[in-house]
Amino acid sequence: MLVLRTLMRVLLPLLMVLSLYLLLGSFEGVGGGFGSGLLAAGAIILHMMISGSARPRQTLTLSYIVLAASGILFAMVWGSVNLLVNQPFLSARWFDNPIPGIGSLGIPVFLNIGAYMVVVGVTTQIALLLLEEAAAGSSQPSPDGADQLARSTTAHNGQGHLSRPRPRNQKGRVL
Amino acid sequence: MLLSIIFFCLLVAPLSLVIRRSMRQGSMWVLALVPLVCAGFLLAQTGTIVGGRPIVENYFWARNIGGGLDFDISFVLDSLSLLFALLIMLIGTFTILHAGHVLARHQQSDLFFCYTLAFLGCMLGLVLAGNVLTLMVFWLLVPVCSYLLLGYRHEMLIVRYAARQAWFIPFGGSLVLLIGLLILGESLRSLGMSALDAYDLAVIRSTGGTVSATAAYVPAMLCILVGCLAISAQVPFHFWHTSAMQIPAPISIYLHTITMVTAGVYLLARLAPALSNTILWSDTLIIAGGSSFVLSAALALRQHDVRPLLAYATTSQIGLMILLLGTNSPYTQAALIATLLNYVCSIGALFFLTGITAHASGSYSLEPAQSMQARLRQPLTPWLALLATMSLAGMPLLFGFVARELAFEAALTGVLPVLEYSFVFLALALGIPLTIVYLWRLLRYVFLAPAGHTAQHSAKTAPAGMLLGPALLGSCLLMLGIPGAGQAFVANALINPAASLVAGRPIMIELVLWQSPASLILSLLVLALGVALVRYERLLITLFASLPARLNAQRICDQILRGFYMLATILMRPIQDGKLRIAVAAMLMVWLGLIGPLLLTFGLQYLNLPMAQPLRRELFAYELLIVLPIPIGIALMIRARSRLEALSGLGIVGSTLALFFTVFSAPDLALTQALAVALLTTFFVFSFPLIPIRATAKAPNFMRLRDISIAGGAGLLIALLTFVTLVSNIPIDSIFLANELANEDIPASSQLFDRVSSFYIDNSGGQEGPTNVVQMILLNFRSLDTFVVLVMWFIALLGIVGLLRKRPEQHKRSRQQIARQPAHTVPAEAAEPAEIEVR
Repeated sequence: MLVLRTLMRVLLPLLMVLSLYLLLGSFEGVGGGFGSGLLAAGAIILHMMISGSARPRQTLTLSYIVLAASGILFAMVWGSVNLLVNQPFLSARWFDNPIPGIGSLGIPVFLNIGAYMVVVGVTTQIALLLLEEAAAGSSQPSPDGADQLARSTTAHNGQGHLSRPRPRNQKGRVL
Repeated sequence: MLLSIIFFCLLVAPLSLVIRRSMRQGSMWVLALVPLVCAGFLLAQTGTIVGGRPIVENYFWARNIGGGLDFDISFVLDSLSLLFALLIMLIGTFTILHAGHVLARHQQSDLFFCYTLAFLGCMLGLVLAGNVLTLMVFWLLVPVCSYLLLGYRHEMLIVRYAARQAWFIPFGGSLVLLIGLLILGESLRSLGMSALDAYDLAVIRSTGGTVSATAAYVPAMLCILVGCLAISAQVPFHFWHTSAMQIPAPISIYLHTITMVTAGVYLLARLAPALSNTILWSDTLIIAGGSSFVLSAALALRQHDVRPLLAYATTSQIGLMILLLGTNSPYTQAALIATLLNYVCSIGALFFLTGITAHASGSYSLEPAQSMQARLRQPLTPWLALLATMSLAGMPLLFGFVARELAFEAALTGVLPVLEYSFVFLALALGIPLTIVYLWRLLRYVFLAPAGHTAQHSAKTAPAGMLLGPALLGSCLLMLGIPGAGQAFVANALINPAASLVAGRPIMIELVLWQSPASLILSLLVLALGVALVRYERLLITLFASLPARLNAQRICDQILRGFYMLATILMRPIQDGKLRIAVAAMLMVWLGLIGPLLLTFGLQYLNLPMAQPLRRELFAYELLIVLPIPIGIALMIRARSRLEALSGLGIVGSTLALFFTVFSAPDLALTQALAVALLTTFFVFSFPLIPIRATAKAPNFMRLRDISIAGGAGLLIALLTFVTLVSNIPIDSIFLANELANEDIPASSQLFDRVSSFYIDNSGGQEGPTNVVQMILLNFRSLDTFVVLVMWFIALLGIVGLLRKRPEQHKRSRQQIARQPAHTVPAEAAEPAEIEVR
């Protein structure tokens, strides 16, 4: 475990840089907002799993929901810039001069970045929720080997709630 | 420019939260500036617009979609929309000032201001809309804003009930309205107009009688009428407005009452030149408007609470306007606009004044015994109330009298069949005296109560911010009632241009005290009748109390809603009973049932299996090797004894697909696929402890057979569809593209979708040349889809958060929080929201 944890310390920045490279270089080569976002999310989730469920939130202290929401906002704002010059929403317009070192910027680049943010935010938040839920949820033993494995990734929690999540089939209230 | 005004309101709305937090006391003055600045800006355009040149703005939205349809976002500022926009913005200013005082101590008042500004922005968009698309966007947004605005104190049951009803009726009506406008637009398109023209409101108005000659006229007009009557709270739909008025703190409703319900009148007036030249139009408007006018006045009379009384007064006055719109006379339009102005000024003033007294005394009751208790007695309020009620009642030397004269003149000169002609007079002769009686009740029991033993209240005067609105509105009524420069200016700058627009021809009517002797005599007679009836107020109340208590469709609406719930339950029970397998099976079976027969009957004839034609290139052995793990993985999944085994089978299939993409030169897809499979597996593993444990015994054979047949059928369907689209040889001009692409030279044997991919490859480059075609498809050609996908990701996340965040201990905590709230926040009548109407 220690080996993995140490390895992950090195790997996490590397994987993040790789995902950023795939994100920004995607117009010339392989990559794209969705793929690179999944890569970054995978790296963060891996780090969460390895560093133990006691503090999965401390891997990167930022609100992933806000990250996802701001990704949508980012894409929307840059897409609406088109409206100011009487062009369709989100149409692909490129700035005239490529910026040295970065390449040519345009609306698709920003949409791509927005997609990246949404994918990272949503995927990581789901994993985080599942991890926390698993940590706080069941403590019943199960015959499934899978459950053993899952619990080993979520380590032991001191709280030990015995109650399982209730079935959530609430009847629709009339009124 | 018009767009930026609307955006200004909509963007300041969230900012108001910050402004409100940072400067508690003065914030309402700052926020009230927002609509005031907009009003001032619009007023500055008066000169241009009265000169007959409307300001038109078109924004490119979507071109050439779905077979050559074009849609723009379009805004028009002409004299009619100027009038409505000014009224909305002024009332908005006063409402913010009023609410700033009333809500000073409320917890969630920040949200109230946010919603108010958003509502104002949407209303402004509604009246400035230049075509059907823009109109419908704002028309659908307005009920949403009003829902938020009404429900801002959502901890009370009665508020939620009222808010939902106030959303349900106008929203449902707006869907009907949309159908009507679509019928209208399509009938115009069938006459040879382009889509851009057929859905432009100005063009629709200019068509004159051509629409009413077509067969589509009757359904279109009726649908439009239903939508307008629903948002204007007219008789079959009037109950939403009354129940919305009964919420404990009805400031939010002031805004709607005065602005939102006029939206129906606005649209009817705007479309009048195109629709109005039939007897059916007059009939429906006269019957709907006249019955609303009289019935609501009678219902207002029997109320013992200020709030429903004012709500019914609103409905009644809007009914009068719709009635007038149906009178086919040269005075119709001017009478409509004058009645509208009188209505907004006097009802607006009354709303604010009753708000002041209720804020001071804490009571909305009209009972004389209670109203003696604590009434704010101060120098200005009763006088302003007197002014407003007298103007609404149509007393001489106030603007109401001028408007009344115009109304009678319109009724007298109306070109209508005898039956309708007499119905108009009957409605006026019944409605106006009843209006006078209920206004007298309001004035007497709310504003003119003797001081009695309320010495402690006598020194308290309403703050200037609250009095500013009613004082300005009252002085308008006074100024417009007396012939002079002010009256002439309003007549020339607002009433006549707007009336000309409604009529579709220039109209020049002078505002004089009486238009003709006949109308003067009638008006005075009705006035005298009303004043005489005041003496029999008690008798009238008992008379109308015997009207059936449920003289509204509220119960029907509740039944309909309940029916929806039941239907949804019946439909969803078998499909979504909490088991994912059944939900997926139902989804696949619907798909199989809908698309399968179509494919079998029409698609298979185009199917040209690759065996029948020579291969384009050789197959390599390793390609077959790549395919091999897929069936192995599937077999592993089917035969799996534990979840982990099944999951590993899924992983094998997924990673093999990724390999497949790599070999066939789609590295982007391969990367995404591999990562998605890895994350999916991780999520499954994470969620295993959360899923209830089932017996791992083998399912019975018939179940396995059933599952296999559904899954296999769905897989086969997808495979066949893919084959048909990719491998078939369909001549393009034989299918639906024939019309649009007929003029381009297309090789007869080209395949259907080769064209699309070559288009992508040719056009993705641009000058600088981003070379990744997949990226360009995602971010350029399909950018809107990509954006929607992002939003869907986020919505899915919200759903998951909602599901996982409901742990039992958190349930317990939230329940404790609710229990700790003070009891008085829940009103006594909250238990029976359906019963509030009867009293």
